[in-house]
Parts: sequence; structure tokens; C-alpha cells
Amino acid sequence: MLGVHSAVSRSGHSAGAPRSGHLAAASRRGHAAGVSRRDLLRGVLAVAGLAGVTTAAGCDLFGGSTDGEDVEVSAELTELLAATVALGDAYDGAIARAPSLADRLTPMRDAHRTHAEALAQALAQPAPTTATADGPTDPAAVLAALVEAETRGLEAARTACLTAPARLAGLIGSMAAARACHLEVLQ
Amino acid sequence: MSVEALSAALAAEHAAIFGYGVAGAYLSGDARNLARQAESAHRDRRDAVALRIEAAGGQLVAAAPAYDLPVQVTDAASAMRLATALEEGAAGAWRDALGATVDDERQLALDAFIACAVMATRWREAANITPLTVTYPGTT
Repeated sequence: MLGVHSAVSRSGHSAGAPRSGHLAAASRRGHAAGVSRRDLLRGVLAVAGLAGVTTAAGCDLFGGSTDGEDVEVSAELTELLAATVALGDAYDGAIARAPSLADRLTPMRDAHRTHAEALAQALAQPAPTTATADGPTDPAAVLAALVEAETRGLEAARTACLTAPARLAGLIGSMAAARACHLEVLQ
Repeated sequence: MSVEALSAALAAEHAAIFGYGVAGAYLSGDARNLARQAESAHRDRRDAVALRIEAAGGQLVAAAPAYDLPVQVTDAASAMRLATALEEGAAGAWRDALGATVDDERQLALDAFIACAVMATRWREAANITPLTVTYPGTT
């Protein structure tokens, strides 16, 4: 337990990550006598999120750069943004054509929408609009089409993350991870 | 910068391995097998990241003798909630490493992030925790 607390409080600053900073502070307080249960719990949560504390300048989740990195928006990232909007649209179409899947699909549709907004903001580009395409209405076929779309989306996000500037790596990596999770529940 | 981020990920892997030691005792059948598989993956990642840190001349963070866990485990349901929390915690550490790494190290961090996020989803499926997926893995 002490090892954990010292590991957490050793981990340095947390610029751009107020959540983590708060936890780190709570954890440090945990060394003092008279620790409240609430503070202890915060320390515990810090363990679960452990290294959230070490989020360094220039790599926070939402692309809030603090390292002055001047990012030239590559064609690949512009394409990733358009493809992310298209993924959200694919879910919209799927939900419209197979309403029985709505409860299952809506959180994933919303995730793509949120990712597209965050990426558009990070790239300082407007999110493009795309049209909802026709597709199957049979639920099994609808799910199969989404699996294909998510598989392509996962590969695109994974590839983009590997070469992304530091300030975007967390966001794009999160998009890849979310897509992998979508595939897990779609199959 | 990358040694610091990788060390935080190593510490998260130590914590996850400890946590599975607690959770596993309350699980049986498929859930126990999933816990074994997950714990083994954390051990592999722990070893892989330790090699990277050593190669970069960094000091290895040792495992603590015990860790406070975010879920008090009393039965199979709470054990699965703990497992979900362990995976989300490790996922967050690896996500944080993305911006601090490049090339092979970023690949390691990304693969680990994705694997932990997917395992968290598998635990939610096993425990019927909805929604099964989260918008930003590693932040819950």
C-alpha cells in the first residue's frame, strides 16, 4: 500500500489533466494522519488509474497541446476525420433500418460522433458531412456490415496513431481502442 | 519522457497482476479462465515493458507488496467489477504513454492500450455491466 502511494506521488506533474492532478493531491494527503475514508478512496481510485498521474504536457486525451508542437494536418488525419463521421453515419443508417438494434448500437454511434467532434477540434477543421448510404435491414446483415466498417476503422486509427504527433496520439489511440471494443461486442 | 511514461505503465501492470490474484479466488468456470488469460497478458506486458525500460537505462519500478483495490471483493460479481476496473486502470496508463513515446514504444503502448480496453469490455459482457463499451477507454 505504501509502495503504491509513493509510486503515485512520485509520478510528477500532470499538466493538462486536472482529474489526475486531483487524485495525485488526494493521494499525497493520504500520507498524513487522520486520513478520511473519502481521501483513502481517492487514493485507491488513483491506483486503478495509476499512471493517469503521469500524463505529461503535450499528450493529454483531448489534444490540448502545451508543447508548442505545430502540427501540419496530414491528409491521413483529414481522411481519418471523414471516415469517423462516416462510421457514425453507418450506425445511424443501421439503427434506422434495424430499430431492434437501437439500444445496442446507440452508445457506439455516440462514441464515433464524440470522437469526430474531438478530432475536428484538435485538427481545427470542420467535420465533413456525409450521406447515409442504403444497406441491409436484416439485423444479422446489419451487424456484419458494421463489423466490416469497424474493422477498417480500427486499422485506420491504429495506423494513424503510430505516426500521429504527440498531442493527438492519445485521442487517436482512444479511437482505435474504442473501435476494437465495438468489434468485441458486435461479434 | 518515455521512461517515465513506461514506468507508470509498468506500475499499472504490477497493480493489475496483484488485483487478479484477489479477484481470481472468487471466480469459477469461464470467468476464472478469463481472469487467468487476462492475468497472463498483464504478466507478458509487464515483462515486455520492463525490458524496454532497462534497455533505455531506466530504473525498474518494483511491485508493491500489496495494493489498495478500487473494489472490495466479496463475491463473483464484485470480482468481475474489480477486473473491469483493473483493465480500465491499465488501459489509462498505456493511453497516457502514447503521447510520450514514438515508433516501437508507441506500438507497444497502443497494442497494450487496445488489449486492456478490449479485456475491460469482455468483463463488462461477462458481468452484464452496461453500456458494454465506453467512449474513451481507460478513463472510467
